Amino acid sequence: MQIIINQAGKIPVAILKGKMDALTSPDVKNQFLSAINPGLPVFIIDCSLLEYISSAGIRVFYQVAKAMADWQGELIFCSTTEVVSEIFTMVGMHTDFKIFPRLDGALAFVNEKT
Amino acid sequence: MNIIKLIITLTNNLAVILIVAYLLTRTKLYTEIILEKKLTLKNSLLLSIIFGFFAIYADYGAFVYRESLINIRDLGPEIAGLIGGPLVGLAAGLIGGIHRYFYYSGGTQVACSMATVLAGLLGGLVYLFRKAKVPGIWGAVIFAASIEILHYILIYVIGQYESYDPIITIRVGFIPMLLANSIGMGIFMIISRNLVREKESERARQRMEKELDLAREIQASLLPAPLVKQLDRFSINIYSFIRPASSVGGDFYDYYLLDDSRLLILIGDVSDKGIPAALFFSRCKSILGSALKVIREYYHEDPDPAKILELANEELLIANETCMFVTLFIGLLDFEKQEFLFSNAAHTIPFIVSPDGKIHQPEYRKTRPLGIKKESEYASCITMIRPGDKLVLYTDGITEAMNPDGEFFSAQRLLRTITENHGNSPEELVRNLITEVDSFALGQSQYDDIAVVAMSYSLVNE
Repeated sequence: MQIIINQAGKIPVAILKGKMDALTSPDVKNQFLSAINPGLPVFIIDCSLLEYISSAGIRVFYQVAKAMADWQGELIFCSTTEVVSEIFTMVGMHTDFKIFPRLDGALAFVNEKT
Repeated sequence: MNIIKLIITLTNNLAVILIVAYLLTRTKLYTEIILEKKLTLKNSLLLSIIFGFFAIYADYGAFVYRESLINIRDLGPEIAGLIGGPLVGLAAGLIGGIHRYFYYSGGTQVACSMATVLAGLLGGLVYLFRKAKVPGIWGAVIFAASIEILHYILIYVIGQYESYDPIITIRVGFIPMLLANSIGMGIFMIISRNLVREKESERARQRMEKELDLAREIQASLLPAPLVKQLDRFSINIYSFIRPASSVGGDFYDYYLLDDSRLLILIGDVSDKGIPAALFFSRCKSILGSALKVIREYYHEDPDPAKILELANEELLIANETCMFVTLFIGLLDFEKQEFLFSNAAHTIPFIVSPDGKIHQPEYRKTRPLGIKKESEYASCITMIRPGDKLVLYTDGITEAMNPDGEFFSAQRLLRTITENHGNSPEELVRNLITEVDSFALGQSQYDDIAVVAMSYSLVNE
């Protein structure tokens, strides 16, 4: 599991690569939490290279979203593969988060919001 | 004087003694003395003799210079004193000292013998002063260096030299002996410390394993046993299997008869695995129990699966800072009506296989797992389960069991296995499925918890 956090202007974009499961999730969570500062309006998760996600991984997203909710910050997703998209839908994540097919869509949304 | 030869002699000597010392630390004797502080007469005697022997060995390997022996004779008694107390130190010192006295005469004879006895005795005094606590590495090194300083003061003060100036002996021997004894002490203490750490972590591991065993037993006792029961008009057969990836896990199931014609059955999967998941499972288990009780005794209603999920969701959201959640499938089977009313909180949807091998998954509405959001709405759906049909509930540990090539067992393989076993009893079906999953995984260690429940019922007297 690899996490690359890039900056699109002031907005961090985390690219997840590999399998996000009970073993790798705690590390992802720590990296996410250190990438978000209070007041950060949006945090983008790019799932194009995410091969698989388990419930432990899903939990990390809800934990980060909960932390960002303190300042009305938002966690958004883009470029989910078919496997990951299926899991997201299965646990109802599509109703709780904005999921964009591509990164540019996510960035357009960010520009509108900020 | 050949300085290279002196260094080689002392290094060889040190190496041999440290190897023997290393082997000694692996013995029960050493463990008893260091960790259990069991200084019985036998242990004390053995310790004195072994470390006394170290001193004797050092004499034979000494570098002889002008009637003096440059060696690490003091090291053995020093260690004996530090770990075994004054009597053990004195005994080892006497063995070494007496040997030195008769082994080699010369001007330093008395001083060197005395120094070795004192080395053991002073080690013992440190032992008393530190209340039997073995000193740290640097403390022991400084102690060893101090003994060598004392040793050379004795050589200077009480040595008897007729034909030469003792200063030359001191100039040649002091630094090598100081270094060799101190380094030897340092290495010995490192070896000893490693042993202590190893044993301590071993004990911690054993304690943890015992606790985990107990946790596993407790968790197992919270899950129902297979159920084969003859009711007035129906007979019911349920077989279940669970295997957590580690000692305890987050997969669970439950089933019980509400009355003579209704069965409540559920299966769940807590996010994450291991101890956190197991703790959250306990919470789920009691919350589901009270949700059911509230519905029946407070609302006087028939338990509606969606209602149970709603109540449980609300409860689970309280004090859930870590965002743990659970996927849960719950259903109520009415044998009379042959109706199965169920609700699903993002869990894998079960299979229903008929006696002629037709298999399907009931339609349902997708909703969130429990414990994520308050505004989650759960809906109950209905499907038919007829006598002879089999209901197979499972967790994703089955479909996501992985083989060494990284492939999943998949829902397709699960569907095929269930279909192939449609004529078998729930027990045979579950056992065959697990065998199939295990042979697919080819010994690849199980990554996620696995749980399966198979249920069928039939009419009596027909």
